Amino acid sequence: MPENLAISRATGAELATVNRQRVRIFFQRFPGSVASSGIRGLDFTVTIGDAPPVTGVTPADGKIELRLGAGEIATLDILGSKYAISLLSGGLHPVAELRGVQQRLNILGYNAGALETPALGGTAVLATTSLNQNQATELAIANFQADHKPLFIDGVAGSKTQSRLQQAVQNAGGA
Amino acid sequence: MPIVKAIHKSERIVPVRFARAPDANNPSVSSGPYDPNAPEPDDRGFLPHTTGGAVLPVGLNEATALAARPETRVRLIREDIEDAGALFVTLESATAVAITVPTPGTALPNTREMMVKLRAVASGKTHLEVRFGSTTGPIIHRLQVVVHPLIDVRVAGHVPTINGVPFINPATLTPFPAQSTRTDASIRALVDTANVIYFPYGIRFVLDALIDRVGVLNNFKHQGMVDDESTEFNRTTALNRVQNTVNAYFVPQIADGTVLPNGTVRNPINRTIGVATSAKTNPINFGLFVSDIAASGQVIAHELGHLLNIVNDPTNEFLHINTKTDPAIPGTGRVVRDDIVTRRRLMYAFTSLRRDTTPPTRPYRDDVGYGDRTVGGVLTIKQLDNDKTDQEVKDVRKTAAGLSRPPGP
Repeated sequence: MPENLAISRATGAELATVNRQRVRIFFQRFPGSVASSGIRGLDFTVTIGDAPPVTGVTPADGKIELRLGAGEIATLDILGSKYAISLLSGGLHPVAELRGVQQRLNILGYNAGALETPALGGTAVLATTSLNQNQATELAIANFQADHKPLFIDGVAGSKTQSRLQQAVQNAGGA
Repeated sequence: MPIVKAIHKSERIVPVRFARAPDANNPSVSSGPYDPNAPEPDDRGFLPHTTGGAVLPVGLNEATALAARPETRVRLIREDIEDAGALFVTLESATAVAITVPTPGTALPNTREMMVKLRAVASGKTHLEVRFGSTTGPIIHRLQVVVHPLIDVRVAGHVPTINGVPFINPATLTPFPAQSTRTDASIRALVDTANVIYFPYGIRFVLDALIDRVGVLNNFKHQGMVDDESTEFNRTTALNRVQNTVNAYFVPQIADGTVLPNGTVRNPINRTIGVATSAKTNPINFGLFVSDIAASGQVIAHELGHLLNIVNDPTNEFLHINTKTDPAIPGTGRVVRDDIVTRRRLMYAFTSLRRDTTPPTRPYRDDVGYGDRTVGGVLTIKQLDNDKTDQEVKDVRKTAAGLSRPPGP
């Protein structure tokens, strides 16, 4: 659940209520939500706005936890890379849509690639028909199915795969 | 440019992954022909984690001096990490393989795709570890490496003469010949291709120096044709047979005697390019056939897989090519395996891929890493809870070890 934090604004003495949400990022060796996949011992620095940078080292599960408000961007320095982290506005796309499936696979680390645009079928409703547009998405679906018994491995995100995907994201603290 | 992440509550970031390296020098190349030194990691799924994610097979010819052994290569791809990060590769144990590229102790290049090369040292397993920052930095990814020492399997080649009623080839309006038109050189080339595919799994087929061309089979139904669903199969495999050995028969045509639902027999012409029976379940008359229409060495490699006791499909799941919907199986859970992971298997039921023709077409499926519309050469290594095509390498090596060796020099 979002937390409502009262913070003092530099512009005046009045108090403003800002809706900040917890964001958890896991650096992992492999996709999925198995804690033993976590990468321990990565040094990181997080900078949010003008606040002083916060440094840390990833624990055994590779988790970094942030609290962000709408429109805020956190810069995460880790692994020699910079990640610009923000809250996803508008929530996830429906799991029955191709882009909704891609979003959830990406949340779990299966790397389905960039979300398809509506023009390329991103909003198409998936049923028995495979509407994948690229190998990354099909591979990600097949790998997710392989990891989630008893799904049938066919690279097609039918309703059983969609349901399991939604469940996996919920269990991973994603939605 | 930072990597942009708009996150809904949580996200798992897996920075890198391994992939097949078809080109010997360019790690950006993602597709290319079968290569004994470019095996495909078995990366079906990521559980159980005890396997360390993907598994890379490496062949070992112990008769070759260590320094002269070929380098096995694999690509490392930065999937969710910038190119600037310093990455190193190390080995959990150096007893099975040695790292030759990059030079031990040096960082991988700051590019999206990177090449890693290994040299087989001895039979065994280890993990190739990707570390960040230094050779002692945190491990951010792992690849299990399994080194397979070569098992030599003797192959007795036969080109029999098959006498029967002449069967007219409608394409040429002439009868099929009684004997295969393949030369010894072309047969050896097929076996050579099979060996390219099997090297990472530690199996080498050794064709006898003399190919038997004197055998004659009389009173077959059709000239130059073996009906593999009749007694003709066993009559052929008994011809000049070398016991407990791969007897490979090269014939003009293999008849497909399948009776269709309307009662007619399926057109026998140019349909079946190869067939084989398992040495494990048919120890008396096992053998393999390759017809003259088989153009690729992948065909004989596939049939040798059957002979070594692995199947297309343990559960009759490979029913269609490019099937998008199956009216007989409404809803989800289709009983169809035609995903691009499956298409990389040597034992995929079809020896060529067809393009999607029904919109929306999926051209990305035409090349699964071995060239346009070419099936892969992968034998599975991993054991998964959810894939019955598991552990083919284990079965193949066990069966191969029970067959006779090539005659000594």
